[in-house]
Amino acid sequence: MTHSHSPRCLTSFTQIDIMKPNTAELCALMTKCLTMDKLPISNRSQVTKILSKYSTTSPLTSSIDVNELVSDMRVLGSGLLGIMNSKSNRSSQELRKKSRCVIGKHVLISMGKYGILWIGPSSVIGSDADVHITDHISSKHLISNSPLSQNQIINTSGAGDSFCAGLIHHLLSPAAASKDDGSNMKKAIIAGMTFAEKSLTSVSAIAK
Amino acid sequence: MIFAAKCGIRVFATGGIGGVHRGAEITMDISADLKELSQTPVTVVCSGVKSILDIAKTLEVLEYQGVPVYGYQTKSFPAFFTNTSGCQSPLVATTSLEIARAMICQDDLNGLNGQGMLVGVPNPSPGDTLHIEEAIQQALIEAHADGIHGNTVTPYVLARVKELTGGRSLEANISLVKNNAAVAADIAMDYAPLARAAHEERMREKKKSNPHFVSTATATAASSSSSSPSSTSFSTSSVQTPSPVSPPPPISSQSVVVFGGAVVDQMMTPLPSQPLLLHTSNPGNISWSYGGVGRNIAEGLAQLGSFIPFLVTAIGSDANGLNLLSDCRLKGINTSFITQSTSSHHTTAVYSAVHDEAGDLVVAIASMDIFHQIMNSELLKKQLQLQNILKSSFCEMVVMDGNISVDLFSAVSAVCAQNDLPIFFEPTSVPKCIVPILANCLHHV
Repeated sequence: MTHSHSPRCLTSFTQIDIMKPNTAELCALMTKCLTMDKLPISNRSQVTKILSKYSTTSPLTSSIDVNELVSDMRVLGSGLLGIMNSKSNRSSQELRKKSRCVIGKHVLISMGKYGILWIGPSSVIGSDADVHITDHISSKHLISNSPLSQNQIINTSGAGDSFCAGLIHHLLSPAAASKDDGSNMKKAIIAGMTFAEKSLTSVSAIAK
Repeated sequence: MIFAAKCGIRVFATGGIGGVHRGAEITMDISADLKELSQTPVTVVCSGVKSILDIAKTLEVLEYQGVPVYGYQTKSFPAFFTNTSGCQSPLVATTSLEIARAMICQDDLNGLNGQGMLVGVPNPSPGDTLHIEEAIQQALIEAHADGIHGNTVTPYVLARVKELTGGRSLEANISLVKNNAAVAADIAMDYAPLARAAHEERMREKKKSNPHFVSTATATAASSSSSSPSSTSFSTSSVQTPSPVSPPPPISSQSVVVFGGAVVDQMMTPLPSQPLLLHTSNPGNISWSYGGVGRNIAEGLAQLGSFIPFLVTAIGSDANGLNLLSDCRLKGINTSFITQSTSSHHTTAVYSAVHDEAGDLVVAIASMDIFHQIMNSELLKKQLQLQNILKSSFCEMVVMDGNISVDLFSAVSAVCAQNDLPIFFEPTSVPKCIVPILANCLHHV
């Protein structure tokens, strides 16, 4: 079987600007993409190998070292971002004019207690990047400065949704929208993590 | 109405309004309500005028005074205790959002008059309606015989009708007032974000035409944050005092539209230290909460308070649906685009989970069919409706979760592309996360 160097475009997929899968969802998404022949051939073998590692157990419940987990998720996440970026009919500049809040496309992988792995345009992540994956894509691993201890966590339900709300709230805030640099996304992720932590220490899914 | 307008309250609920009395061509007995409607910018939600009045003449007076009169989901002009008066409503509105938009149009035209919103009697019993009408006619005859006239007629007739109907007229009155208040609340919820957006737009326009213009909110903030007179420069004449019609917006006009699930979560656990026994009944605790990824995100956004999020989801007309809808409203979520099925076959989504004594999940059932049955078919009937949702909500970002169907995802993403709106996707779960991949196969874009 031969694979095209310019795979068929996932049109609806490429309309997504920000995706926030957890590690298990990322594996499921990439498995589906793999079976539908949507990945650039350069990534295929590496992605296949990583997915087989997590085929029987969820990434977060596996006994794999956190650095290895982050590295694996970076490969899968950058593959997903590559698909989201393929044949987008909107330039980031056009999008920015309209929304004033999102520059480029981003994959935010939630890794539970290991924080958020942010994969996005190098121009946005800038000097904060941990790894420059390609010329245009970088990643940054963000983890809480003061992580919650197990006995501080009351309820995990709704934490991911709270993260989304905190992130979007920050992105659309007038202060964030007026700025031209890419620092907003990092601040938005931190705002999301802060609101998620509030949810974890609250009885209700969404913290009051 | 006067005090409501003075306080900036734009929607007012009541039972019925006064009107033109029969024989007014001789007595000139016309209620001051009609005059007030023509000069006070408040939308009055009511069940029409009582049948003791001359409804046709009442409508004539409202028309020449320029008061728009809408029937809410009805063409018939209600007459307080009955939904049919023989007269037609001049205008018909099918949703509260339509009325909210009409109010915005009035604001744009600097309209100083109010508008009447006529809501039918909820679930009228034909027997009760007839009985009450007969009582009204008898009370009118008695009033005439007793020499009652002028502004003492209405209280006399209402008291007599209450006696003659054994209190049923009072029950009907209470029921319709409650219903009118619910409709008024819907209109107010829909009007608030639109008014804020319109206000901000007017401020932007004024600022554009006069660079020294500072809105009252900005001016107040500037003056409180700095005592230096040179820090803010503007001409006094350009600073407007807050109008009761359009108070300065405390929050942004922009919004997020969330397409996703709204679910009633039911958690069941056996009593502490009691092992869970299968195939039998276990004494335990059952707790309820509201969830669904889309609803949770909308609640979080509302909680953070910078704007009102719009939730697009589907619920049943069961108790779960009504409670969920009410909870969304209480939490500050705009529910204008929540579809409520009228069919008993469509039940509100419920996630029921049984946990063992250690708190681990034993089994769960997720009943989520309504999202695919209702939300999609209703929204996909007209792609235009999606456009309207995004435009009327002043949407800045669209959020979708994995609960929505492949069809809907595809249609929404197409509309977002046309309108250059960014999309945030929350995959929701492993089985649901592939919705965007499957949507690709539909070639909507």
